[in-house]
Amino acid sequence: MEETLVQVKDLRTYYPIKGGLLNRRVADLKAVNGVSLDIPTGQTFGLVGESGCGKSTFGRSLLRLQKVTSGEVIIDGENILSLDRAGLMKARKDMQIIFQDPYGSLNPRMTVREIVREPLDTHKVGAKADRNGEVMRLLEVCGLRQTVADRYPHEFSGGQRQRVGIARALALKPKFIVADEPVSALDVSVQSQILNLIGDLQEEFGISFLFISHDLAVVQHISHEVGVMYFGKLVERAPAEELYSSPKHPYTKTLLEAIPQPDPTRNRTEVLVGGDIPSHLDPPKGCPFQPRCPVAMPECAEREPELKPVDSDDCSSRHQVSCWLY
Amino acid sequence: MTESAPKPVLRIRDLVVEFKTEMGVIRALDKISFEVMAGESLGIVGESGCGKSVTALSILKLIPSPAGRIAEGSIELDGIEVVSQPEHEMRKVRGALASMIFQEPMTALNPVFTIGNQMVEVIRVHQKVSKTKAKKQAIEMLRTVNIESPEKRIDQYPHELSGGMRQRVMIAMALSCSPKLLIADEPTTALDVTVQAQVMEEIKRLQQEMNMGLILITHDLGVIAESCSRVLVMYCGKIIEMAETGELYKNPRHPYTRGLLDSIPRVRKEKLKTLPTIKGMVPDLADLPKGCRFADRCPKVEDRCRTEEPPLEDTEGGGKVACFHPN
Repeated sequence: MEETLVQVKDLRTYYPIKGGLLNRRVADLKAVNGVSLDIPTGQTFGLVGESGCGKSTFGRSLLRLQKVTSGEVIIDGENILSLDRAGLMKARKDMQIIFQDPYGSLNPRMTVREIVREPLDTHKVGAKADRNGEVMRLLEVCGLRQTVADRYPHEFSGGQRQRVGIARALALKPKFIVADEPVSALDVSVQSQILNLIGDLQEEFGISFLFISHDLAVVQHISHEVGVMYFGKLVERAPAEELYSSPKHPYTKTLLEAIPQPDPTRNRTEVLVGGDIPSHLDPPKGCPFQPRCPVAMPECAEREPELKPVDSDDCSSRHQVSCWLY
Repeated sequence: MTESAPKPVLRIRDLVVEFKTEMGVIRALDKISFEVMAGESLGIVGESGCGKSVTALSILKLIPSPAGRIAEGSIELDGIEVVSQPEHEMRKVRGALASMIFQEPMTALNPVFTIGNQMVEVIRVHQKVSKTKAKKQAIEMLRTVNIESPEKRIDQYPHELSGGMRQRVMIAMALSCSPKLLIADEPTTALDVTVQAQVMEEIKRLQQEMNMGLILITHDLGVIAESCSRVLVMYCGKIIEMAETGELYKNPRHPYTRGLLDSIPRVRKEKLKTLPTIKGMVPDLADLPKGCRFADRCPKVEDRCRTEEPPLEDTEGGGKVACFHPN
């Protein structure tokens, strides 16, 4: 049995909706509405969903970059949500994040050397004299030439900037990295370079990843397990091969079907869903996907399904779905 | 081409577009030529900086000036030479002969006016009709692009609509004067996959119904495969391959096209250990290599590629390719 590094239990993150004369909290926007998952050491959990489904809020909540409403996040035996300032500072050494926009997340006034070195200085890792050598090593690991160390972010292409962002994330030898759409802003030919790099790094250093993306095709390559998120909840999770070979939830099927394929002879087999993600201010009754679902039944509008093993005889099954069909 | 070939709605010949930058003058487009027939859908694909958006902007003469300019060549829109057309004449061309949909529908729509206001304005620039009549036309147009309860939507502001809905409004605006050519520049890139599929269906349906020429610009070869009959691949301001869609995907001739097709992340039956990539990155337009622009990244590079630039030549498959050793 592999060791679990990250364990999330019933995580909820709500944003207040203010209004009225006194601008009081009138309601909650339930961005993350009860998500549980676990990530074994050295594995990647791919989290997929469309914009507004809460996947980025979830990623930020795990690292306490976002105030959490309730739930539990245990990383390497430590309950992250109950840590005080000093404890959090220490725990953050082990967890890092890579952002989507490699330009917006690198300080334009700092050189690459300063950017990658900053976490080492902040956490006082190693002797000062050795840190420079460490920066050079990190750049090399991420496929950057050492000569780039004294250049500024604007002098680089998107792919190279993302490599700098990855080098910075690796600086503290983290055990867990949240990668929030790390390749979405890149050209296809560069996307695959970065995906390969992340795969190699995982193999070499045994890091666990939460890989967030809107693109099921990107997630497949990198993930051991995949979760599909809709309207603040996981609607399906399964080992990667199983999710792609036998998707269960109608939403997962829709997502897979909607990916444009570089194959002009292909015919879409299923009817595409219409409509948009429902409004958080006026959530639908029952299953949140029910208004768009091609196979909705009367009971779907009555009660909300729970995430349960697909095969009810096998409680240890990791393939879970929340749909009244199963 | 057969004798009964339809008339081109767009004919571009040896187009050169230059931009002044800190590093000197760069050629964003270097002698590109192509045509679009009435009712035809042409896909233009390439990575950032390849010149695909500049191509779109030059057709409507929307190149930001004075930094950029059309330096050479000709652009004929339905028989009218655009390059020499003065700005006040261009205002009649835009929308009526050719219109454009942009990537980001939020920034392309004016946030302080209602949808109706903006649509009526477009219609009245080109047609002498009353405001009431124009509004009626606008409502009809919204209905055509499958917006539910258009009578209500027309009085709403852009921020009240979802991303997919806004892009539908953009399409409705672009089509409100029945243009002969629709240029769609990454129309679905900012949208979610499920919405992207809906919007693309809409564009394809309307293009066929109205028998328009369509130029679909995207970095996504997947989107093109499902929507275009012919594809043009650009790299560093040049066309490097042009072919029928079926032929291009089955038998890509240029090593760059092959690399692009291979590196698309797709759902595979068997997971690969490493994804295929194109090594290196796109060269800087201000500092292009001598010879073939793809030479530094090409797996099949030879000495000749580094000294001579390959011309765009016909292939036996009916397309064109610019490579000394095509696949």
